[in-house]
Amino acid sequence: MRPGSGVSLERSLDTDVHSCWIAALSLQNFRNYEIFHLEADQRSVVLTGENGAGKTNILEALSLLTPGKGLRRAKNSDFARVGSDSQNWSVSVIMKADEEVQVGTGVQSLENLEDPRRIVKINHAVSPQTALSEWVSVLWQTPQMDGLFDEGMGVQRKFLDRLVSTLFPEHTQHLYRYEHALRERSRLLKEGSSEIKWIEILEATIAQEGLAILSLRDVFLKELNPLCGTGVTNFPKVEISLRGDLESWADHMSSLEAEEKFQRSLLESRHQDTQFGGAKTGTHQTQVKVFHVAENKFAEVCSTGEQKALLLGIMLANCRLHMKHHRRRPLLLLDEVVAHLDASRRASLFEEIEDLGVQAWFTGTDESIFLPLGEKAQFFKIHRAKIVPKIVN
Amino acid sequence: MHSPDIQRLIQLLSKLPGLGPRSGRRAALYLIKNKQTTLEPLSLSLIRVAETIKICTICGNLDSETTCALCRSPERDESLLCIVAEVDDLWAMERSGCYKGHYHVLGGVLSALDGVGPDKLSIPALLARLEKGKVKEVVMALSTTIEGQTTAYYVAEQIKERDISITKLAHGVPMGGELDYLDDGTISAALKARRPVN
Repeated sequence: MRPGSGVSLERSLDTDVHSCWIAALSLQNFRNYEIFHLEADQRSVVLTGENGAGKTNILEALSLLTPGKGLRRAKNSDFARVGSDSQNWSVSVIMKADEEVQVGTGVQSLENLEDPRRIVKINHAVSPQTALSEWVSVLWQTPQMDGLFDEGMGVQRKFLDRLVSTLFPEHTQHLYRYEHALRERSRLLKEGSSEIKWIEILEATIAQEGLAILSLRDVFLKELNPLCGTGVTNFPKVEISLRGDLESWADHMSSLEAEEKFQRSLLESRHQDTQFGGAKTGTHQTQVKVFHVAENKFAEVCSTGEQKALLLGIMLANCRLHMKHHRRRPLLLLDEVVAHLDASRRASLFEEIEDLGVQAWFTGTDESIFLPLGEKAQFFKIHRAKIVPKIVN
Repeated sequence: MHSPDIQRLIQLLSKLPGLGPRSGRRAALYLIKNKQTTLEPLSLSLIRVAETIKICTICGNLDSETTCALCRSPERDESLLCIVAEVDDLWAMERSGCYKGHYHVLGGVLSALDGVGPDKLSIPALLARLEKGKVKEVVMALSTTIEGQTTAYYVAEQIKERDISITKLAHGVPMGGELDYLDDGTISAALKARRPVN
């Protein structure tokens, strides 16, 4: 358990939390933008325009201020502008935090490679992608996440793991090592390999990495759950829990005993795993259950509107968690989220974001739904990858 | 656009590690422009290497003799054997200048997904070397990837019955490294492998 876990964020602590906001964004050869520049102040940003204008592309550019593939999970070669001769692209921001920071990321390659490397520069020095999380946290919600609770368990696990990874970057390494060892074992079983020692070593790795994954998911939820429903409005209280063989073993045993039991179960399920692939037990089989506390029911049986509110509630709680851990405000990217909320819920969301003091980036086709934000936000209309600033009184 | 000879040269250069079509073209042009100083000595060197370089029958290193200079050297410590995946790992160890034992190049690491099993690695040759009884310590110098570590454990399993000490390279803080720049996993490994300050 990490120090300070389970402690709810007191509003009085907010004064220790630093602001972090985008003061300027420049894009070159990125998605539908040839050259683009936007300057902003600390307030939230509203991007409006017709479909295909390039609003989500701006959010995607900002999502690349985190390690990984951004909010569309795209390849580095997919970001270059369609129709461009060059594979090179760049996203550059001036960020105001404790100090002014220049962050740039993109592909700068002389060759047209199948999967070029994304370079990150912080204050003009080349840095590893993981260094980004030392400067900025970016959280997002997109329309693709709307059906999260109706999708299979795999999608919900991926959602949870992404949340865990944004707080604990080492989680990604554990997931990678676990899945890689699992695939290696599956291949050996499928081929009927007689290399028992090799399989045993892989199973030991799977058990070790599996327990590390379980532990980080558990620590994360123990911190997130108390922060759900603690905002200034009526976003519903959510309880996220994990169910599975491994989770129940870990509840009743020490980590070492659970790891040994997991390894034994892999040994015992070899025959079955050979037939059906994968592994019968493990963190890849964990069920993620999201519970609407006030309504006393699980998310999958909630209405579409309730599900959206639950999802936003989780994101707001995650925002508070990041503020607690990093002592800085994350950027929020809300793609077409507001349009699908009723007026009351919309007002609550605006109120929550104002209370958190974060810079949120909203997109939508209809400017009028953002008008309640008034001067608390800055409005930009986008038309065919060009931006026309418009001040709302 | 190019003559067939130049086109062939560009194609071949483009296949080299780290190069692609554009840098292949630049390299070809550089060689042609510097015929006497670079192109001709390089072509002679390539022919010479193709004719003379062999794989050492003992350790798997590359040398102009079938038993490499490291295996022939009487100054190397026969009781120490360092296991590496590839020849470039051996070269990296040698660059450090601090290891005076012998080597064994496995020729890769175990990877079911890449179709590399124990039969593709020079494990039988390793066991045959150990049978001679001169080696007292085996040092695993394999990468910390899943494949590297799986291979290390697999090889260790094969030799653990013998009266040989099995060690591996330490993981942790690099020389000149600042703690603040290290990831959590590296710091955790370094802490577990901490040593008394003498």
